[in-house]
Order: sequence, then C-alpha cells, then structure tokens
Amino acid sequence: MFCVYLLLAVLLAVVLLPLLYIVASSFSSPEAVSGGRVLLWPVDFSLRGYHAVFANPQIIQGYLNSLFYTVVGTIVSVTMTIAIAYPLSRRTLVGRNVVMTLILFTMLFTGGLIPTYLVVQSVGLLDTRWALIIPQAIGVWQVIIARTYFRTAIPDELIEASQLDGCGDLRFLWSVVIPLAKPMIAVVTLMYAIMQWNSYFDALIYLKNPDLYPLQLVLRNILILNTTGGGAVDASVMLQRQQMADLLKYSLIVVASVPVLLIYPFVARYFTKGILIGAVKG
Amino acid sequence: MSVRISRRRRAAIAGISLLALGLAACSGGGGSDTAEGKPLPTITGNPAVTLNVFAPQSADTNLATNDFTKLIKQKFNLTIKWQTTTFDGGPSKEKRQISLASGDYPDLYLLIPWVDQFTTAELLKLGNQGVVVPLNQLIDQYAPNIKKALDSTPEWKAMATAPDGKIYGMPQWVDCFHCSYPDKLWMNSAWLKKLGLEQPKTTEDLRKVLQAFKTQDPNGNGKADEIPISANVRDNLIPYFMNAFIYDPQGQNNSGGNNTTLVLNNGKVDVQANKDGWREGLRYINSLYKEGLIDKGAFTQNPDAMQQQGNHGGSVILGAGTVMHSGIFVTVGSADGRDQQYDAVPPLTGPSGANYASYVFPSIPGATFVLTSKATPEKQIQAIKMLDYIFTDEGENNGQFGLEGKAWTKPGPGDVALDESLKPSFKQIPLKPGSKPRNSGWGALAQYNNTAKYRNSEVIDTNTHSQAGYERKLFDATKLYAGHEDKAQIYPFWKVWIDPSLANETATLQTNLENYIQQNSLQFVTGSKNIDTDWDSYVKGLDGLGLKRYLEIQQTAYDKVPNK
Repeated sequence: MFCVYLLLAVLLAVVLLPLLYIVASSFSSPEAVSGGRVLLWPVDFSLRGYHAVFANPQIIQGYLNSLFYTVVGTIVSVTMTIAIAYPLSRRTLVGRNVVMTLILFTMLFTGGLIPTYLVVQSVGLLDTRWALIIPQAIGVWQVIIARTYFRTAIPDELIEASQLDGCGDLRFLWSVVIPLAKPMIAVVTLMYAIMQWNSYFDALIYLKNPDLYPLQLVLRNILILNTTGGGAVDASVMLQRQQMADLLKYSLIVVASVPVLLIYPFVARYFTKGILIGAVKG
Repeated sequence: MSVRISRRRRAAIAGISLLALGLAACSGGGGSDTAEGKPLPTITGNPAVTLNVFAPQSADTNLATNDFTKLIKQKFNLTIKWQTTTFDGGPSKEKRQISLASGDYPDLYLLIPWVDQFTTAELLKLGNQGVVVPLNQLIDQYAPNIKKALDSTPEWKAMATAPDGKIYGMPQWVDCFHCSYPDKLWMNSAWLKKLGLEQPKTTEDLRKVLQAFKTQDPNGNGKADEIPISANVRDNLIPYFMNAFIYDPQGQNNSGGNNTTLVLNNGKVDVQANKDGWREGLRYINSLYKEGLIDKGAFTQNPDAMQQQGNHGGSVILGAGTVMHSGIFVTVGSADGRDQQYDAVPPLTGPSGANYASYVFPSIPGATFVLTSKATPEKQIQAIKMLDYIFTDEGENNGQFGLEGKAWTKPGPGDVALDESLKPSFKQIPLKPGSKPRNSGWGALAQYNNTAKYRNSEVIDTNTHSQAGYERKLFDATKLYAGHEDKAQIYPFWKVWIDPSLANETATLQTNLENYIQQNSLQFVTGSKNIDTDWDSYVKGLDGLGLKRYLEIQQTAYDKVPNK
C-alpha cells in the first residue's frame, strides 16, 4: 500500500512541478526567470506579464475566438456524435455495420493534407470560422465510445416499454437515452472541448484573416518569437523580441490553460465512469 | 539531439514541398506566358488596385491597420488584402505550399527569409510552370531604384538571377557586418583581470585561461561553480576553435549556411571535414572537453538554457561563450551590469599558425518577393512600384521601422554613424520596454536594400556599454574578425543555382552529410569515438554517403556561374 502511494506521489510530483514552475514564473520578474532564480515560488513578485497579456489586442481577440470555437464547436460535435452514434447502436438499423466500417476506415486512412484542403476550399469554408468546426465535427473515437455506451447502458426492454406507451424515436432519444447517457456525454464533451481549445494546425492552414485566429495560434506566434531567426537577424531586433517573449511567455501559458483547468474538475467525476463503460465492456 | 530533430524536420518539409510542387503542376497554371515576350502596358499615375498578399505577421504587428500599409495606399492607391501566416517557419512553409498546390495562391508573396522563403529550386520549377512571373521587364520599365541597386551590388544581382537570366523573385539583401562573422568568442574580462591574465592569443593560452577559470574561483564566492566555456545548439562551439587549425566555413547552425564545410581549392569544390587540419582541430577540442573545461551542455542545450547560465542569479558563473553576440547568453542592460564584462576575443592562432575566422554570407539565396500569374499586369506594375519605393532609403526606413517622426528621425547635430567614417543618415526612436507595440512599420517584410552603406550610416549611441550602443559594440568587436576569413577558399554557394532536376538528390545528400559531419564531430569531441582509431572509418563513411556525387553536382553548378 505504501509503495502505491509513493509511486503515485512521485507521479504527482512529475506532473505538478512543471505546472507550479510555470505559475511561479508568471508572477516573477522576467529577469529573475532568465537568471534561473525561480523554482516553485515567485521571485520579485510582478504582474507585468499579465498586464502585457491583457494589453495586447491580438491576445484578447484570440481568446474570444477560442471561446467561440470551443463552445460552438463542442455543441456541434456532441450533437452530431449523438446523432450518428445512437442509430448505430440500435440493432434494428439496417446496414449499420457498413456505416460503421466506413467510419472506422477514416481512422486508418485519411485523404491527406492537400486533398482535404481542396475539399474545404471548394465548399467555400476557407478563411471562415466554420473551417475549424465542420471538418473536425465528428471524432471516430468519440463515436465508438458513444455507440458502445448506448448499446450497453440502454437495454432493448426500455425501447419496447416506451414504444408501448406510444413514444417515438426522437422522443425516446430526448427523454430516455440522453438523460441516461449523461456521464458519457460529459466525457465526450470534455474531449471535444479540449481538442478544440488546444488545436492550432487547422487554423494555421485554413485561416488567412488574423482576426479569426484562435488563442493557440497567437500564443505560438509569441512563444516562437525568440527561437526563430538565424544569422541575419539584427541584434537589436532580437533583443526586443527576446524581452517581449520573456515577459509574455509564462503568463500567457497560464491564461491559456485556465479554462481547461476550470472545466476539468466538474467533469472529472464522470470521467472514469464514462471511459470504463465505453471501453471495457465493448 | 535537437540539431538532429530539426534536420529531420527539415527533410520532412522538403519532402512535402516536392509533393506540393508536383501537385502545383496539375492544378496551378493559368496564363503562363503573360509576362514573356508581350510588352507591358504603359501606366501613368496610380490606378486603384487591390492586391492579395500572403505574408507572415508577427505577434506585435497588425498589417491591416499598420501605418506603412496606409502610406502605401496613399502613395500608390494600392489596397492590400493580407493573407497572413505565422512566424513559425515549418508550418508557415506548409501553408505557402498548400496555397500553391491548391491553386489558391495570392497575387504576391511577401516573405521573410529566416521564417520561410522560396528556394531557388522552387523558383525554377514554378517559373517554368508559369505560376511565378519573372520580374526583369517590370524592373526595367517601372523600378529604377531596384535596377540601380542590383547594378551597384553585383553579388546581389548574381544571387537573384537564375541561370536563364530571369529574376523569378527578389531576395532580400541584408549586409549585416556583425552577422557575417558569427563565430565569435565572448570572454569575461573581469575574470581575466582578477586572475591577472590576458586575453588568449593561441590555443594553448586559451587552455590555460580556461583552466584558471575552472580552478581559481574568479567569481570569488568560494565555490567551484564556474563554467569556463559554453555554447548552445544554435551557436556551434566548434567553428571558432576549428579556425585555429583549418578554415571552417560553417558559421552558425541555422543561418542557412554551409554545414557540409564546402570550400574552393583552386577552383575545385571540396570539403574541409575530412582533412588533417580538421582532425587536429577535433583533437584539440576533445582535449579541452576531457579536462572538463567545456560545459557538458554546450552541444545540447538551447539558447534559453544558456541564458540561465549567463544570467545565473547571484554570482556570475559563465566564463566564455562561442556565440554570435553576447546578448544571446546574458541580458543586455542587466541590473548588475554583468553583460559589460564580456568582450570579444580575436581569432586564436593554432600550433601550425592557422588564424582564421568563419565568413558567412549574410543573405539567404531564394526569394521573398514573388509575383504570381494571378496578378494582372496592372497589379504587377503597382506591386513593383511599391517594392521600388521600399528600395529607396526613405522607403526602407518607413517600411522597416515605421513612419518618420514616429519610429525614426533625421540625425541631429553630434550624432555619430555606426561606421564613424560615414555621414549619419537616420536614427531610430527606441521603443520603451514594456510599452505597446507601435505597429508603424513592416519590420523584416520591408528589409530589402540593406546595403552595408545604409546599415552602417545609422546613428548609434557612442556609449558601447549602453543598450542603445549595443550595435556599435558588435560592430567594433567584429573588426577583430573581419579579414581573417580565407577569401580564396570561400565557396560562393549563394551564386550557385543547382539544376532543379537534381535539387531533390542534392538536398538528400546534403542533409545526410551535414548530419554525419555534425554527429561525428560531436562524438570525437566528447570522446565516444577515438580520434586516432576511428578517423579512417569516419572518412570512409563520408564517401559512403555520396560525398563524391555531392561535390560533382556542386562543381558542375559552380562551373556555370558566369561571373566568378
């Protein structure tokens, strides 16, 4: 028993220490951070980093964009996932194996970057907010979890009973299935939300208008400020960029992580339940 | 490690780029012979034109609301629709290549060489497909300043002109004096003074100095916490030392430089990495490493980690660093003034009398200003007029820094140019640290006609200890190195256009050779390979990776360079 706790404590430390370091650094002066004086407690307490973050219009705009992508994207994704997973879980649906195979196929083979781009372009999504929401709306993994959950947690007897009471399919989905599937929905929602919040590559490829950039893209652009640049960068420019990056780096990471850290505790209690039902009994 | 990864990533990107080029062949196209033969229309005045421009945008700039964008609108009646990408080199390249492959490309690409730019191979291919429009005629008719600049800087013209005589895109010319000699040694003079030592002149002097740094507690805190010398993955430690044994053309790791150590031997292309001098250099560096004089992290840490050594809280612990400028490892204008303790050490003389300094060509071959077939002749003309304005000194100041009076001014009485022999011509207005970005200029997007004369006539503070005078400190320090390069041996890779059908093969050979040389150098230095017993198999390994073929390709291409 002791060994287990020791092991878990070590694991906790491995995960927690870098987090604490980032938080402590974000409240320290940039000089103290680059001098290596910050460990787990702020040195030369300073809020300059946070001032700079909230003074930068690109960061604020990016933050709002990310919130939009996360909220709208998650709602769309969860709705679509339930809409496809529930019918597939019903044994009475003809051809469900074919549909499922097609879905699984995309897990192994994808069209690749350029063809996907061409599709997004030809349906006119390029450089719109929907380019970040629609192409990624359904995750195969989440569909499998949802389908398995529906299959195991909703007994056929329930359907028969509801049908006897004169309940249609939609009503059954809304009044019986969804309330019963809350833990799974919570898990899937969390997965989609985190995916949307963290994603930057789609935005990088599909967006051209900087006003639509999500936070992660802005964040990345700032974090790489002092790592790019080869021989021919002016020293004075480099010094300026370095100062800006030093100032913003840690506070920006904290600001960008807060929403995820906030929603996680509320969903965490469903997590084990949802994942286990989705995976083990499948 | 990170060196290796970045190389691999580069190889992967190269792969994608070829795929993208292949696809561009099917989907791209359009009016391919618009610019050839047919004379350009004559345009007087400035018709209203809207230009789609693909450009990287940094975190502190908003190109759409930028002052210089407004100035361009006002001057040329040119409305720019920006399609932005980030400063992140790899993804930025992918985005550009996808835009080409999908046929969804803009009128104009306006890029930054150290983020991502068109390679010479891409220019030749896209030029043949008619996707890229040659600029020759446009320059002749509408861009007197560009014409003048190219004619007065033959190296630039040679770099920009493809073997068929066409200019498929304009590369930036940044004649940065201190960047041309990136492999400098910055040493703590306060420590030298304390220990009663002089700056080292020979390789053996240096050994004694480093030994003293390690053992005699120069920072006086009673602890043996001193790091005699360090470096980072971007500022390679080897070239500075190697130059005391054999001319090493490598330069900084990611300057787009010459990491296969190509040189010229009486007109024959050769590499340095299999010569006896190279072996002796490695033997020397290995002996320093064995004595524990070189920091163990010097070959693996990133610049941030080196900053932590240089800015170490409490006592100063770093004795020296082989970096382009000391600001890489210590904050310029630090609270305790420690950054002023570091001074450049001139090239060392080795046992055989070698006393070289690496010269790195400061511009990167390729192109950053590239017009496509999507642009109508009218758009092309207005775009080249804009670039022509950027080529003037005034346009360059406004473009790079921002508007006059806001970001720069004419020099006042008593102002001194960076090169004191020149008449000062402009002065930047520094931005207070922590204040809001100005968003007045385009920065490196407008850095074209950066000749030595332009750069060196900028007014810089004469106090080299202040942050404002930092550029002057570097200028002065670089004089210690300039002239030590072996001019006869420099391989002018910037003028050499490799045949596009061989570009793929050359890139693969080059990546393999670079990795091999880099890895083996480190193994010899750190002692995991023995310099006496493993050398022959190392040299054989180079041949096994196709060194002969690589040199043959380079030689053929070099022989075709018109004005050597």
